[in-house]
Amino acid sequence: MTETARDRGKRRVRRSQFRELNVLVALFLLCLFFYWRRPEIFVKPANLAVIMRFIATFGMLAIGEVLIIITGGIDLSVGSMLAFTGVITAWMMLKGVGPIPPIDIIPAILITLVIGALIGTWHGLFVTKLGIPPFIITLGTYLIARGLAANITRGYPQVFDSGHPFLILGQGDLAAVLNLKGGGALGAIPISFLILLGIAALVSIILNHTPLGYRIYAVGGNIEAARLSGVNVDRVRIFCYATSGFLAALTGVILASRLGQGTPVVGAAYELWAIAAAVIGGTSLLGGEGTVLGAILGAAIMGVMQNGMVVLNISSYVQDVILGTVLVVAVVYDTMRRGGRFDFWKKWFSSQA
Amino acid sequence: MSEQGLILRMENISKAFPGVQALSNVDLDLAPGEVLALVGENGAGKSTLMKILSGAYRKDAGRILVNGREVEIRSPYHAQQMGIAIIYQEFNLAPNQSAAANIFIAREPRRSGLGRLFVDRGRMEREAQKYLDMVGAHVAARTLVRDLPVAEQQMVEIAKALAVDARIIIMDEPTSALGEDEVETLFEIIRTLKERGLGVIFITHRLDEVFRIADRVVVLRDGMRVGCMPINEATPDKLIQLMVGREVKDLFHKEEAEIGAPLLEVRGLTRQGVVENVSFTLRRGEILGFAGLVGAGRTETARLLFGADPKDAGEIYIEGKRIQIESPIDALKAGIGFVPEDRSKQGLVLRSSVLENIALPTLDRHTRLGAWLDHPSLRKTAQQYVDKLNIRTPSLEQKALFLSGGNQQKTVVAKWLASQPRVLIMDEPTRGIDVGAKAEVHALISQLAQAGLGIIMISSELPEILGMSDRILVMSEGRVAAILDRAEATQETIMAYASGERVDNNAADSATSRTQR
Repeated sequence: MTETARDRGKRRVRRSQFRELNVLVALFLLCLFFYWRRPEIFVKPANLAVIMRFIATFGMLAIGEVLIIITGGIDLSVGSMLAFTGVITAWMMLKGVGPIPPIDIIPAILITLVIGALIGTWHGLFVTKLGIPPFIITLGTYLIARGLAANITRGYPQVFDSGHPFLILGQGDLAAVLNLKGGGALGAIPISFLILLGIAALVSIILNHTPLGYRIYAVGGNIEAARLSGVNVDRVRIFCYATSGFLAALTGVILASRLGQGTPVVGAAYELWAIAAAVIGGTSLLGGEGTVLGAILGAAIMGVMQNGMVVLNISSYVQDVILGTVLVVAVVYDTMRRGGRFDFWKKWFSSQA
Repeated sequence: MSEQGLILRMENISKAFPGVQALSNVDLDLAPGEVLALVGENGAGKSTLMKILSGAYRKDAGRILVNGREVEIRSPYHAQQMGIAIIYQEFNLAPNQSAAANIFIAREPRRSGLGRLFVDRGRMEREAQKYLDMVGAHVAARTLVRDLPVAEQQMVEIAKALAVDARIIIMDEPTSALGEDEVETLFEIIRTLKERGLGVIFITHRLDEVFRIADRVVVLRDGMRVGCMPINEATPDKLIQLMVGREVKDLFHKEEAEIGAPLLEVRGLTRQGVVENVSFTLRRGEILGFAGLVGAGRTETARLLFGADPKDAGEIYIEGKRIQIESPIDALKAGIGFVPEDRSKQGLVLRSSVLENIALPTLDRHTRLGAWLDHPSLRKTAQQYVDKLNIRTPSLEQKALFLSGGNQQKTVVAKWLASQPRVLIMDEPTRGIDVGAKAEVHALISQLAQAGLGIIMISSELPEILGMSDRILVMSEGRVAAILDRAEATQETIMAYASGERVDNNAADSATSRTQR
């Protein structure tokens, strides 16, 4: 009764963190397991950097997916968007567009990001103004973007010379930026991972501390109620699609830098991995629920598992089987926890005993 | 009534959910040709009891006898086999299928011989038509359910019950979506069922209906049977007293408010085929009731006014100033609030908290530096309205889903009050909420009027319209049929205008002239 508004605010934060606790515990156990099996490899800075790069890629895409999935949509285009944006950014830097000579790194990146956001906006406009299902319009881009990427490059990758300054973005780490020698585990943190943390913080703030964030959840929870409450539901949804397009472009640029080339074959099925990461992190495909932290933890679980299985020399075929199983188990667990269906099993078990 | 003659007897039925004793030792019996009304506040256990009977829930204790034989009802399908059919408030019909296909769902007549793999559509439609005619529905069996109005969908449900040869038909608030004339049609059907020797259990919130149709009434409160009497021994006051466990002196808690200057003026509001040339004036402190049959265009008028649907024509003035309302965003800015008729589909984000729901229209008013949400200020405002409206919730973080109907409704109202509107439109503000919460909502409406708001109250319950309104706008077929003063309005005059028996051609003009006076 006497608690102040501030205390109550704190309680709210604590509770929302609690929601991701399951995922966090699972992640921790996974790390322990792989550390137990291969302590000498698993925690090596170089190996941790590999995991962090994985998380950076899929975490970024998953944040975009989470925003869209909260509003009840889906974005199937992000994998192809990686290829397309990677190719055009390399193309602008290396060959130039038509009569325009090659341009500098920063403007090329900025233009690519704008293109990504515009394609996202394009999706949003189709979904909101024309009522096209998000599945369909982003499936269109899935085909178009990869086709364009291949057509622009005639199928060949656009390769950067080694030592090209652009490559620092995807290949560099904290030590390289701060000019540290060695730097140990901390120095091995990839730049791309730091960018992910920045983006995650920004999107978290938008979701939890701005009117826009409240509206995104409201639109996902009940679009008609949101509309009748004076929420500009079209604008909210377009924002989410645009952000996903922007994040796909950012990931595409980082990946091109990481690979040292813009190639039309990169990113196949990445949209499905991103969606899986979001879902493992507790995002409901029905809309209205999902968090940035969950998306990143979901990506982390997949990254740690994938890496751990490589370290343990598990065949890549079996890896897919295991990852698929984890996805299904995670979602079934989450659905039952939410729907209270555990009561049913508890009763069932007690009746068997 | 001898035990032998009963088609249904439920004895000592108990059911607990985690943390709640939903039913304790409830008895209920039903004779052939009897209409039994089951009444009680929300949460009294009516639905739980009926769900046990229809196989949706399993009872914890007690006995059920159908036609004198003890039975264990294991599933809805099992209940159906024993001749028990339930018609829910929200129908279980497949909208993209024909009425016939719905009536024979999962039991489609087959062709003979090898043709057994195929449905005999002709026979199915002929048989379905027979049942539809039996309930007096003017519906072709081939019509798709989605093309039927609500009242006729309900008839399809009843025909479906007859088709499975049900002897006991449970109707869960069958009239809540019906207009006055459709209710009469439904009652006509129920009387037919009665004559055929079926037993009907009728759940309702509207007491007047109990007296119109029921032979006997059972009252539940907090999971217990608190009363059971033949209808001629019951009175509305007695029933209400049993339901709430206290005396409700005045069901319609209207306190007179001072009626001031014109606040909202609507001229020639039109949406082709739905609303035709609707004009009226609403004054400060006034409660303007919208009466009419379902489909008369009351909700549609409200939605046009609020910008929820696009209008073809019409001018809207607030305090004499013409304003453009193209969307709910414009309406919100103009100081109009709208409590829609369907709380769960249109009013609330059920999986969001009370706080988030109340804050939704006014988020921009609680920011710092233009974008940063001021959480303490948000909470303070929400708490203020939760207290003011006496919304019973354990905390502001409670999801709206877990509130009772009445508290959900108050949350929707709180959301709009927080936006400090000048005009509040309330569409069926007390539909599906219990008697106690109803009285609270009525008191609240009065208070708001006294505070100088102009209120438009759409209601299908005539006593509510008569009890609460200062003036009554009666709509019929998309037009204003009459605007009546409280003093001159009676149930009969309203019905006469609503059904199109009487037409006041000067309705729109008289509204305007009254303003000018």
